[in-house]
Amino acid sequence: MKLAFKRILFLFLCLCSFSSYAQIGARISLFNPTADLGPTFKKAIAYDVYYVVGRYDQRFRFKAGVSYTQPKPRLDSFPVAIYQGGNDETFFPGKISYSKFKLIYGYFNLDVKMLQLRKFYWYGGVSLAIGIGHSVYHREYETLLDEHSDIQEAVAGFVFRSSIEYTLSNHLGLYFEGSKSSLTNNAWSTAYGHYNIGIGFNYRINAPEE
Amino acid sequence: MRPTLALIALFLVLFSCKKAEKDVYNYYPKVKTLSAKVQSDGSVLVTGKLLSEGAGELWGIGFCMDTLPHPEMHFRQKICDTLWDGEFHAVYTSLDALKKYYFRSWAVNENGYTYGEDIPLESISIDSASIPCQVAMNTIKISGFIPEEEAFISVGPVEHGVEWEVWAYSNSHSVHFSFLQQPTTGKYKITTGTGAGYYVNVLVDGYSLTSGDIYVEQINSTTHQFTICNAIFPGGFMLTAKLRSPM
Repeated sequence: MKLAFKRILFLFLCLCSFSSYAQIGARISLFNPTADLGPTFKKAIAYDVYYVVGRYDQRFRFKAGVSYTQPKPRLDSFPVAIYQGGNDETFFPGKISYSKFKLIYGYFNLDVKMLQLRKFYWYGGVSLAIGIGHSVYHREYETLLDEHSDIQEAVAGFVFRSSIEYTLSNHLGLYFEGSKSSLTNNAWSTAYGHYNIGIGFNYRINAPEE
Repeated sequence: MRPTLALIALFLVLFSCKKAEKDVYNYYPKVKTLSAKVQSDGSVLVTGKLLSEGAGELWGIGFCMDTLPHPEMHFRQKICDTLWDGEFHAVYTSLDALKKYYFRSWAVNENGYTYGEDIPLESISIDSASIPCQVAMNTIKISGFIPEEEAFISVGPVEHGVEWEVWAYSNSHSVHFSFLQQPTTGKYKITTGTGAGYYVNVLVDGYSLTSGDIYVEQINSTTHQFTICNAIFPGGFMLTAKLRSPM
């Protein structure tokens, strides 16, 4: 696993060095779960690293990156109930607890420069994202059910972004970004929706000297 | 291809925008146990109020009850299917006068469930003013058939097979009470045959009462008092009786 990661990092750095417009960047943001994640998980820190092709003065720029977060559940265990029909219909109480939730996805993004005011740039963009959602849960309903499960499922969808970037130099730009992620799992049953608000930087590797 | 992608994007946006509640408990319904009142027939009327359905579709409301505090939802569960101005009700019968009971409401929605507070009740008994006839202890009166009052000697209770029985005798009559299980304080409907989980049969001189009510008061763990007011015999005769067993 470590070897594979090193290879990917090596390829990434090679790609970065090929383009004079190449930038690498990172974002740290607050992950705010919505949709099906909202009732269950707390806000958490999310980390993004990415590679960008496109100069500040170009209308379009492309970005490829990876996002990772590991939010904690909002309660140690959630009270859930199950209905058993028939002649003796009954609601049974139960509980469900989650652990080790992780969401990691890669994305390809297209940013459009909407506005430029001196050294400030306003971008809007959309990403196509694909990744993995992982969680472990334990669900039990009295004597009816006691279930442990380790779920790892594919997730995919779109991320819509808007950012304001300030170029400190030819090499470095700092930005504030808000993004809305609309992801679903492969069964279309769980919406991994969330929005992020964060800050980041873009570093242009082969920028000409000022 | 583009319209398809646009539709998928729209779908995902619509289903992923539902904002999270600030307080996680807002996802769950909120319910309150308003009261638990002993009725004149020894039953208990419990009332609850649904304060909020929570952030999700309401699945059910009701009550649970046990002899220990904080009964779980499925203990002696009553499901209510009607709300009157946010309130819901259920009636518990066949309660043991010697025990303390805890009643509480619950509500379930698609996210989960919550409980109301416990309401404890003890010494649950029939309000004697609610019994529609007054008759001396250990006597029977049979209108138009045996118009007399006699002293009875009771035998029992005894467990006989699947039944719980009490026999009572006088010089010329016998009365036989059969219950599917040991009765607790409450009002029971007399039946003429076994029913699903419920069976109260009363025989006088071998004749089965066809309809009427029997009021049972559990005096202590071994003593029961039975009162019958104008129950119907075959042929339209009426029985009124009051017997305690054992004496």
